[in-house]
Amino acid sequence: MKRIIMLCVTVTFSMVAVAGNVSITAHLRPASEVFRLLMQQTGKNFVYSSDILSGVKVTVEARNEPLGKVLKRMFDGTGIEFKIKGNNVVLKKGKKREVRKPTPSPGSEKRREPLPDSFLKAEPQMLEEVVVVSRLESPQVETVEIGAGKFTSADIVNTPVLLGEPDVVKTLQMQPGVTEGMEGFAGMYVHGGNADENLYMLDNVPIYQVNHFAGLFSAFNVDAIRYIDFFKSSMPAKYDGRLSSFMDVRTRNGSREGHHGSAKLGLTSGAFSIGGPIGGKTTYNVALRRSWYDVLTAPFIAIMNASNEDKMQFRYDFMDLNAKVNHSFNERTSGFVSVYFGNDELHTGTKYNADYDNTYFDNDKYDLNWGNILAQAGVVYKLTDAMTGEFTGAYTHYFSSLEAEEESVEKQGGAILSSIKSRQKTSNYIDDGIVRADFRWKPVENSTVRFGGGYTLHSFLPLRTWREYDMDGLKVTSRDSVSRYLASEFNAYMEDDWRISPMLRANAGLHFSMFHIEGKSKFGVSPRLSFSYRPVDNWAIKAAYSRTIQYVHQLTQGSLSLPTDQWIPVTGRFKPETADKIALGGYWESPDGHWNISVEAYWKWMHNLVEYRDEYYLRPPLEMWDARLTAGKGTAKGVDFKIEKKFGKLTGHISYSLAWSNRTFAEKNDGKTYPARYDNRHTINVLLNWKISPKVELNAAWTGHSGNRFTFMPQLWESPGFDEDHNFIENSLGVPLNNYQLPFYHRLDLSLTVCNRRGYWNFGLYNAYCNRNAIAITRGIHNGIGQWDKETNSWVSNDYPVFQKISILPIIPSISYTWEF
Amino acid sequence: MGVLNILNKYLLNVALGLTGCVALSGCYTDFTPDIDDRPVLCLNSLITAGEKISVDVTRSWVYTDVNGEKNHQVNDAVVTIFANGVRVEDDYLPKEGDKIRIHAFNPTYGEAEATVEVPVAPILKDIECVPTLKEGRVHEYEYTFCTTIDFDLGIRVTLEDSPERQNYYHYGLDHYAEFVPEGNFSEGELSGEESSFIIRDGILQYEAEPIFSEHISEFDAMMGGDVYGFTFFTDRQFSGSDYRLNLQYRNVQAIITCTPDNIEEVCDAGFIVCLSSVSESYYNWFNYCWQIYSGAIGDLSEVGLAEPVKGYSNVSTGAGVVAARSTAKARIPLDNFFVPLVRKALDKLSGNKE
Repeated sequence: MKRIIMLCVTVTFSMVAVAGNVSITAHLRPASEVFRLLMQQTGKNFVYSSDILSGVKVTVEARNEPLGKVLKRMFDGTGIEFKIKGNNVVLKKGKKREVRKPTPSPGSEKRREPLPDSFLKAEPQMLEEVVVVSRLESPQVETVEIGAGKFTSADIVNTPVLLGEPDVVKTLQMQPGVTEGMEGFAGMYVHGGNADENLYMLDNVPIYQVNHFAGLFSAFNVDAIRYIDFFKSSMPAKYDGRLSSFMDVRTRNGSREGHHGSAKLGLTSGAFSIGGPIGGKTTYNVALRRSWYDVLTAPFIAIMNASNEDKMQFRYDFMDLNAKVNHSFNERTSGFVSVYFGNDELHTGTKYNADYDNTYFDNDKYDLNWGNILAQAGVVYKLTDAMTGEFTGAYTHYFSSLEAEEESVEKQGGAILSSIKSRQKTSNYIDDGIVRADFRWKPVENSTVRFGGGYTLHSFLPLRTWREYDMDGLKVTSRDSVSRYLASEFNAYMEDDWRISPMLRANAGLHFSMFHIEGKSKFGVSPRLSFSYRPVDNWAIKAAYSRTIQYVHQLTQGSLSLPTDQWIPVTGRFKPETADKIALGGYWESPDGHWNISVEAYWKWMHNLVEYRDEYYLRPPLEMWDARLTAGKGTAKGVDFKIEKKFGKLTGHISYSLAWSNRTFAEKNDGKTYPARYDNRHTINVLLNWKISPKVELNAAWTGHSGNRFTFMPQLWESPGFDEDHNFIENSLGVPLNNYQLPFYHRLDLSLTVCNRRGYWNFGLYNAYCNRNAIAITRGIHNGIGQWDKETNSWVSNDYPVFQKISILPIIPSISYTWEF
Repeated sequence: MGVLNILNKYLLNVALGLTGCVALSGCYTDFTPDIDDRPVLCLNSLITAGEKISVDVTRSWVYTDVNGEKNHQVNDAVVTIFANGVRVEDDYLPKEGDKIRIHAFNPTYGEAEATVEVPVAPILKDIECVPTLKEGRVHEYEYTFCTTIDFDLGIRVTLEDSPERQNYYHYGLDHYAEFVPEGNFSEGELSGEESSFIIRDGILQYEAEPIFSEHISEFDAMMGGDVYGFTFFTDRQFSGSDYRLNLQYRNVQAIITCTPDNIEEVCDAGFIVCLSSVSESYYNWFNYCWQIYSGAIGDLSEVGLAEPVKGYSNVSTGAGVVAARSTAKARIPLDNFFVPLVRKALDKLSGNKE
């Protein structure tokens, strides 16, 4: 029998639902159609051979019931068996056979026991091995990882966010131990780390620019996402290169069952995705997203320009494209080719032309362009029944450029009296060529070995500027002497996930890395070790140690994510950044699997951190590499609590974090230790999903945390008066860094999803009770009511100086519609 | 270029506008913080070689303290000056190379001190000046003739840098003339005197000299920060060697009032290139001012999108600037440029009359 392996993944994430519980009504509908609906709700893959579903029609009605229960009812009497293993639902024809009991694992329940050997033999493991699956499928009482989680596209959609733009990073911000940073932005500060200490990987390949719109949105289009593995405490040996966290984003494969997709129209952007088969062995999936800002702003600019002599030019947009083609070569081999392109463009300028006498013409243009291109190809190959390899080749190009052109022409009687033209072009890019191989080997039942390695050729151009100035033919051209940095990075790792006994499980690994730049090689060895002890079925205690090493860091000025934020390699006097982290966790899962409670503690020591030194801006940029930066250390510690309800009409989680984070730099804050900016002592997150009916769902996210740290300078001193122009300057008296804590931050975000036949509406409310959270403190003037002074016969102002809290994001509604086909 | 300079903050506004799209309306709420705000002594002084040292002693004040803003002079502070480690009197005239330490004490506000080295004046050589005539006009004014000459001016001067230390420089241009009238005259206004020479310096094309832009980062450039008004630079790019400054002025104007008999006398005028070696503190102070008002970091911090910027200070308390400078000057006479033009203009006027 020719066996065609059907692998279906979520094509669209439509009806928002909690993974695990589903609602569905079907009467004698083809089983494949019903699967598609279930996939949309759960994000799970259905793995089966095509022949077993031929002509099978099912009737089922369920309201918010566990998937397993629904499937059991669906296939009752059809002779089809199913097994839910992690994110895969494996179907096969029923056989009368003697099922050998699997090796019992402590606390394992029937609903998630490993597939029986005989089953695996009848349906070769290839069914699940030919695709990359998350290592975090099992409940956390079973896994050995601490502080790790898997998130599906449904999880992301279920998190209410600003402007209704589902965002991976903003979903992760709701996790304990993760701080959002600046309100409303897609920043991520994990366990006291910095924003550049998180590794974002797209199908196994790191990308650098992960934001759109100055950091307001992340660059990951949720339409293209299958799932995300997120690690923040115990790091698997595979991952290194960043200090604080690792986010492995896996993109969707196209459906084999037909062409399906969605089109979304939101306030800020539109998105379109489609996927389907190309022949019997190939699938495709394309997801495109583009912002509307240029369209929205065009009328306003036209109105402004109608009444002004200066004609303003403005256009901003961002877009991202994910395209992927999968091919199943044979039962053992599958491959894919994918492309990601993310881009932000900003074009501004003014044009002034004194038409009435045609004597003066002025034109200024500024074009900014930044983003990522990623092209990759991968093969997943089942070398033996026990070993699978994933081979990846990729090229990534991070780019950022600014072109400014300013021109003025003065005329008289048609003749040019004078002309001045200045042009400036700035480039900043990183090119990476990557090859890597990752293997998963299961030599014995109780042990899973993962090993692999890779090589990356980096080419960094931190910033290069070219300037040209032309005044009436006199031309001055200058160009920075900045040159490219070529660097080679090699890494290799091995880890063993070993179930030592029914109660004890361990994961030991080692990541070796070498970074070669400017003729020097820097070596790093990152040991990883974690244990899980399960004294009783529903309880687990875990401990872990991990070391992480980072060879590149990002220099940012301000809180916005801008194209001038440069990734630079570790060079000169700086050493690779390292972090040592220990973590301890306790976990409980209710017998029915509906509830999870976890407590995780961590202590992290960070070394050779690189930051701008005090008053770095006084140093010319050309000295950036050394003079503007300084190296130091940091510590972070804390405890994360989380209570999660996974199934039922009302699901979600409540988390609380108690955390400390500080920094010590010789050339900052007079060498004294100071709290990190996002040293939020207490953080509470509540994320609730209420399935009101099969068609209506309400999501609520409340977050509250101790205010961010802020360097508040209340005092002024008199200007030296070296010249008249600068006598009025308000000079702030320096204070210890981050000396002030802003008021407690809290807000509630809501979203309501209403499904109809063709798709669903989403209504969002950011900061629902409009709490004006302070992001900073500034100096201002209180405009008091003045009075008329009869004696002097003049008006006496009652204005006086005050300190003011700045808050930026009030209540913001949003609406979007997603059409599915 | 003036229009271009007005666009200084343009890009920043755009960037902030982007965030403003979601911010909809920034909100400011008055509040009184509970924070330590003890005032400290502030010292300000600009030390020039060959001139007596003057020190201004004040105290810091909380921004909301209206009285403190108006009255923060500290008159009863004890100020002591040391030159090269030796205490000197008030009438001491500092020399190039002197290390000056200023110490002040007040029982209420404590003590403050700062040290600065008086730099050595730079060496200027190979001065070249090229005026380019744009337009010459002349008209008769009672018994005298007034000639207006519009021209562009290109100056090139070589600076010899000392390799021994990090050097900081400030460029300026002055002018001289024998018949400079008293008072200020707006454009088109004449002095009313029989013989006078008025010079309007024109507009320096800052972009024409890349060294003036060395303090501008790409971040600043992207945000619209430009070099306008900033003529400080360091020797980081040419330490120990010569550097030739390229200075271009546009729209320079000379208004010369004279009689046919005293043309040479009145036209004895020109420019003075002033190049100062300045202390690091002096450079840093103006650089800081630029960062605050033209750089991105000042704007971002003002709206809470970057860390606040403290005032630059080299005083122990963090308040005040003690700086020093030594200036080298070089005259550029332009009588050879003015005299023929004035004479030609007068001849033309006489011809028209005939």
